[in-house]
Amino acid sequence: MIAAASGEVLNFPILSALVILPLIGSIVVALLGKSRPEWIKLGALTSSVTTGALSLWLLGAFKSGEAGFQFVSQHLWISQWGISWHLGVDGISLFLVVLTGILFPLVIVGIDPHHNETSYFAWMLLLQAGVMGSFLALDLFLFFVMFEIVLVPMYFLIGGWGYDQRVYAATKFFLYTMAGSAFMLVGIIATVSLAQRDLGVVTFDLVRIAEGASFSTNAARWLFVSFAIAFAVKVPLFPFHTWLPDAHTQAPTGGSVILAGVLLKMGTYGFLRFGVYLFPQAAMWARPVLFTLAVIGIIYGAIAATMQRDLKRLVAYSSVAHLGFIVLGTFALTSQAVTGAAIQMVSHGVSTGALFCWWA
Amino acid sequence: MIAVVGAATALYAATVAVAQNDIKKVLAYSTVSQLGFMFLAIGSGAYVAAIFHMITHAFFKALLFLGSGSVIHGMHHEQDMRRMGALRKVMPITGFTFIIGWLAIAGVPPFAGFWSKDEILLYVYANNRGLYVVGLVTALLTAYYMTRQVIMVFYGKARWNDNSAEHGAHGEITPHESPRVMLIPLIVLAVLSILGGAMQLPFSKDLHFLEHWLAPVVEESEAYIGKSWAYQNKYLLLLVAIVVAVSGILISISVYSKSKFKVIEPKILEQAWNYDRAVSRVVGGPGAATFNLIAWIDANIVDGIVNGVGELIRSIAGSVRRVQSGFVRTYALLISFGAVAILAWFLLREFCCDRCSLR
Repeated sequence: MIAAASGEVLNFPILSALVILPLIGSIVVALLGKSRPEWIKLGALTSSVTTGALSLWLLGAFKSGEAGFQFVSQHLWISQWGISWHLGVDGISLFLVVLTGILFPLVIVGIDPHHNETSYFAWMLLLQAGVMGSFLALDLFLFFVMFEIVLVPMYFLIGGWGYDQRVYAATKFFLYTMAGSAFMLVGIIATVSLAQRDLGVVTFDLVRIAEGASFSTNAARWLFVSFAIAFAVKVPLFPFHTWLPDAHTQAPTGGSVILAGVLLKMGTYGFLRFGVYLFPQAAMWARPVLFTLAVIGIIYGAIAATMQRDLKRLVAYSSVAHLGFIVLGTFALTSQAVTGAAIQMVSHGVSTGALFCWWA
Repeated sequence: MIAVVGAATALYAATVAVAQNDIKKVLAYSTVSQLGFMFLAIGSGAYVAAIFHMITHAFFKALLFLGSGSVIHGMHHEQDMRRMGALRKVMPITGFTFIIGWLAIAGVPPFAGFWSKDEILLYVYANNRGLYVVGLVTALLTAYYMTRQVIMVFYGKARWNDNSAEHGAHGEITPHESPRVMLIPLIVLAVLSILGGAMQLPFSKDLHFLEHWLAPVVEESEAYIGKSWAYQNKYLLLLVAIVVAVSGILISISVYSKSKFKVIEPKILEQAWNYDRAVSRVVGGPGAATFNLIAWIDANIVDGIVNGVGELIRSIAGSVRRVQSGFVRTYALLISFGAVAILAWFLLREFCCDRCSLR
């Protein structure tokens, strides 16, 4: 069923397009790259610019002031498990989608890899597809897939086009984030099985679980923690942040821009969309810890940033500090605070992305 | 609390400005001092007075800074007041407008600064008489150091060629008036400094234009002093302010122009009570060392734990790997051990079912 909000039917699956277009672009670039090298960048640019244009159109067509998800696109995928291709956008994800749509074309047009352009742009576009997917996914399984899809291109981008210690940094990034996500996987499966008792059916659908299922206090807290671990590593929250300085320093410029601008926001978005949406009371319970970690991150990140000699490392630590602010705002759980956090996500993406472009 | 901080700032900066020799440094510390006044006003609940002073201060401080810029330009980029003097004759318009700015900041009626400063002092008196005294002392010092500046720059003997041999490439300089593009803003600001007080004259409620304009925002929280002794005797306080300003000017004239008293400019004042140096030394020394330590801790200890976990897993995996030796005879041995163990389990279960708890 494809529909826009307010009953008006939009005959174009825009959200699916946002995810699939970069994917198609990635495949096209990968296949054509060897035979037509002059078209590589053009192809990549076309794909990402179209995606960007669609995201900007989405920004205009979005009806603000309406709660709930808009432009929802839902297709059954694995029916025994209730897994569907469920995409939707609301106020929080809208700006992240637009940020992604704008940042990727800029990175593709502005920064050239020194070798192997084909693979570079193919991985970039795959990365864009994954990021878009994770911002738009409303199905727990789909979100997990997208969350993990993001790791592979990033690993190759850092490892293949980075600086001296790129392999170490890439491996660390990959393993650390995946270890966190392992907890989330357990959490997702547990959530689904616990929700089955209330809902009667096995479903991975976020909206159904969030609105239909209730969890016992203890269970909700454990589940929240499992999700929180994954996002804490991704954000990154002190003390799970040490992969970030290495990843940022060793990544190629384009990789750094995307890492700082978009990937870190997946963690904070995840806190809002999964942590708070699914387990609000547990989120309240976890506040003191998260506040403490966020504030430590802010001050500690800033202090560590002050004395760095490597400029990229400095910006990496400053990202730790700024993302600490976002987490602080998210868990203050007032409307203004969450709005501020959402704005900070976008502004940090833009400003830190620009800072890293300095090295191009 | 805010009032105390404001008063302290005002007094601190005013004492420092007395001993500065760079024409712009005097004005810089003067600005800090006047901002202290504004915060003193805010702390005493006089929001309108604070904004009033902010506006008039904008007029005369901009005038003074642009005027000093004109002086520096005319003096071929010389900024040290000890090498100036008698510039009034060579730069008449700059001098005249600077003097208007001087009278405004010193708090001489009818210039703008007087009205705003008086309004502040009125509210401060109603709030805390100790702070009022500090405010008066600061006003005195303000008049004092500004008069000192005017005398050193525009009056007295022309000192600009006294050490011309030390100037190096400069040699003799001939100061001149600045071009019109610099003078016209000075004139505009001078007019504003003269007339600016009109937005909030204390004589009647109808003349409180600024207060009425700001009322929607500040009316609720503005301190009400209508019934205080200060308000009843506001014209007396007005007179006190005038006396303080004029005496500051006269003392300064007698020290710097008439040389009746010795010049007192202790070194500590010129060094701004060594506050800046102290801050730099703390931040540069132990501060930087602490921050370096934290950065080191993050890179080695926190990250060390992460890498340590990785190493631990590697070493465990390395040991466990040895089980997969590829040596089939070991596998056969382990299979036989396992078979014996399973057999033992079933046999023991059968024969110990009464007493043992393996069932």
